[in-house]
Amino acid sequence: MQASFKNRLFLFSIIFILAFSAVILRVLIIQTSEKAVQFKQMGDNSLWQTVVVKPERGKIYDRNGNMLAGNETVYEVGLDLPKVQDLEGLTMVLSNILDYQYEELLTLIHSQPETQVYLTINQFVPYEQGKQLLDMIAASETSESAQDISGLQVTPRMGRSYPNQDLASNVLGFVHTNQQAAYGVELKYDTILAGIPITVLRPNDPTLASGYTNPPKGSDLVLTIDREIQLMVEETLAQYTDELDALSGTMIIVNPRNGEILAMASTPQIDLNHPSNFLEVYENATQYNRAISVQYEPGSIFKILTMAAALDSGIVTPQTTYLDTGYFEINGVNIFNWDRGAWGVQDMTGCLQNSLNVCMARLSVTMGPEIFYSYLDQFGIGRPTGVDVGVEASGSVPDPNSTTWLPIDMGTNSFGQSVSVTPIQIVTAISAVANDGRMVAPHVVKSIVTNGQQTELPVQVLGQPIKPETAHTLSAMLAEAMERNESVARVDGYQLATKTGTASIPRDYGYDPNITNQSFIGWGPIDDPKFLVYMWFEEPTASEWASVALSPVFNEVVSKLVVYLDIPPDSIRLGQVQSQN
Amino acid sequence: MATITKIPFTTTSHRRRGTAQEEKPRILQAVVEAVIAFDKLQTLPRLRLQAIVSFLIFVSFIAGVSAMLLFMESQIGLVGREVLSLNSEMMNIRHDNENLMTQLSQLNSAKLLRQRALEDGFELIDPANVTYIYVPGFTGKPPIDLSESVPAGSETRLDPAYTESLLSVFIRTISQASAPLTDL
Repeated sequence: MQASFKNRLFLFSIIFILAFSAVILRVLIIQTSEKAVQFKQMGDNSLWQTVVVKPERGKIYDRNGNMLAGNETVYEVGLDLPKVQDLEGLTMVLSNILDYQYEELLTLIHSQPETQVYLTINQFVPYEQGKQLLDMIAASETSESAQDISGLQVTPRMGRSYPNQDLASNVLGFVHTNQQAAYGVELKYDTILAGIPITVLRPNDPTLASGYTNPPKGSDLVLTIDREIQLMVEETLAQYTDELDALSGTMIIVNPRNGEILAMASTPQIDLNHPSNFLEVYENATQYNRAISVQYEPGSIFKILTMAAALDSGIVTPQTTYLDTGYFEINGVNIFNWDRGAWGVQDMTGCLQNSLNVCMARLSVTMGPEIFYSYLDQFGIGRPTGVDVGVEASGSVPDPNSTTWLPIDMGTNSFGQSVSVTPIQIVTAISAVANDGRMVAPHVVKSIVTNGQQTELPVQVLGQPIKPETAHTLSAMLAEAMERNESVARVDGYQLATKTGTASIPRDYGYDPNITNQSFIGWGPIDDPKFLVYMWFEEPTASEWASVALSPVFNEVVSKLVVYLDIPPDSIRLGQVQSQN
Repeated sequence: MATITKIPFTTTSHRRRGTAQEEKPRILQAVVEAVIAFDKLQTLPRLRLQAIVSFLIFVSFIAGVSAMLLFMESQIGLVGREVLSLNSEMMNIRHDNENLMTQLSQLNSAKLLRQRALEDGFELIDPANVTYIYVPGFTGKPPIDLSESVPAGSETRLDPAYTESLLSVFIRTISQASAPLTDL
């Protein structure tokens, strides 16, 4: 009996060893087979998944920390087609919540090929609607009596949101639903705002989960824009574009000391939460922000630059006089004043006060093309300013060395005709006069916040086209001219320097005799400028002259601006300065 | 070697209940058998006994280490699931934060705020009616600072569980298992 047991034990051991060896052998065969690599790949695939993690897009704030662009959850709604049980019921639910036509949606689903597994219904469903669908999915999982919506997939993701809708839309630009940035700051700083997506391997096996690597979110931007001033500017623009019956209106308010743009707007604007309206509102891309993208002949506001050049080069002083006969001949071509009148003996302040073309033409000819165009070059005319708001036009100024250039060009250029500038270009150039002759780069981004650290962007000096004394003298001349004119633009208590510009519009057949472009520029307080206001109304029909049409607008804007910026009247402010000293 | 005394016994002793006189030899027989077994045990070589004990200790050690590895593996699995869950929760919280910030900004948008102010009876001030007061030392609003200040002591610290030795884990596990229920 004992022998029999031993035999059985031996037999069992043999069988066990053989079976185990067979398993080992099979494992070895598999491990060394041709498909081993493929099996390993399959194993790895089920163990890990490759995920591209996109960081949250950085937010955009105004200079006081008010959010202008942020993020919010949106949902992608789709159908896992093989899992759909009640197609009609599901279609009804989707058409009700997502506001689709039932028949159209059903047709869309039916039109999918049989091999298709997933159908995207909408990639960017707003938060409330997405949440409603998620609640229905949760209800259907817990209650048998709930609507069968199996197959419905609702996936959250972050989308761009603009809490102030159309405010500062020309400056901000927007982000398309496909996350593509367009125009403005969104485009200019896209790489900084968007951050860098990373590709990571995420384990499906929880024992391999050792913490997730998430990419750092995109940097936040703090703009120089002041939300309250921007709103005031946009409302004023909308009102006066309508009242003056203009094609468009553009306004820029800048701190001439450091180039910070406090407000920038051009009509029309769009609600940035619905960028698909773009094509309904704008005919072309340049219209999106006329302040940087459209160039035009500025007219008499350009006389500030001509006078600055003349004073700085020393060919005249404010007291220099000349006899205005109503015309000035250059190489056989006469230049006339705006009213074709003769203004008699005029000093240089009178020249600016009465906006005399003849005076400006004389000054430019006296300077000669070399000096005159050299100053224009130093003022940056004909070059982009580098403003960080998107694609900027460069403007154009005739080249005196060109074979097409004629001496008469210098005469017309002196009062802002036959020369094209963008609004931001003329603002930058004239800011130099307000800022002791020092020209600084205009910009809208004040600081960048990356990984919780805020970095202020330094002021960029573009040059010193004129001497400080020239700048002070010219500011005083313009202020005096304004007082002499008893302009409606004056604001009680504040000494301001202003200049109007009414420019003829070139057409294919020559200058249009019936319509003008009207501009206005002014800054103050002239002893310590805190703001420079520029406005341009395109082809207004309500009035022929900028001095009539735009002076009240300037007055209204500056009256509000001094309150927003806490600038007391000169008497109080200078009194304070004296008492402090 | 001990001598063995053969004691005869009847083969029918387990088939019928015996008398008291018959029970006596059976008890004796059992005692003798036990003595024989003990004697055999005593006769095992000391080395063989040591081998058996060593084997048992080895098996116990392997079992202990295996149990600990299984325990650790299960703990890693649990922590992994917690990591997944926390990560998912973190993403949800981040989304919620973004949504709330955006909603707050919508409610505080410039147009809405002004509309609400006007509805509440506030009026836009006429610049002529503004009274300026000189406040010594006041230099206007400071620029906005969005830097994140990290409070002291809030740096990320590694849980001690991730740095303790295998022995520490073993001791901690044993002490937890042997702790009174009231302490758990």
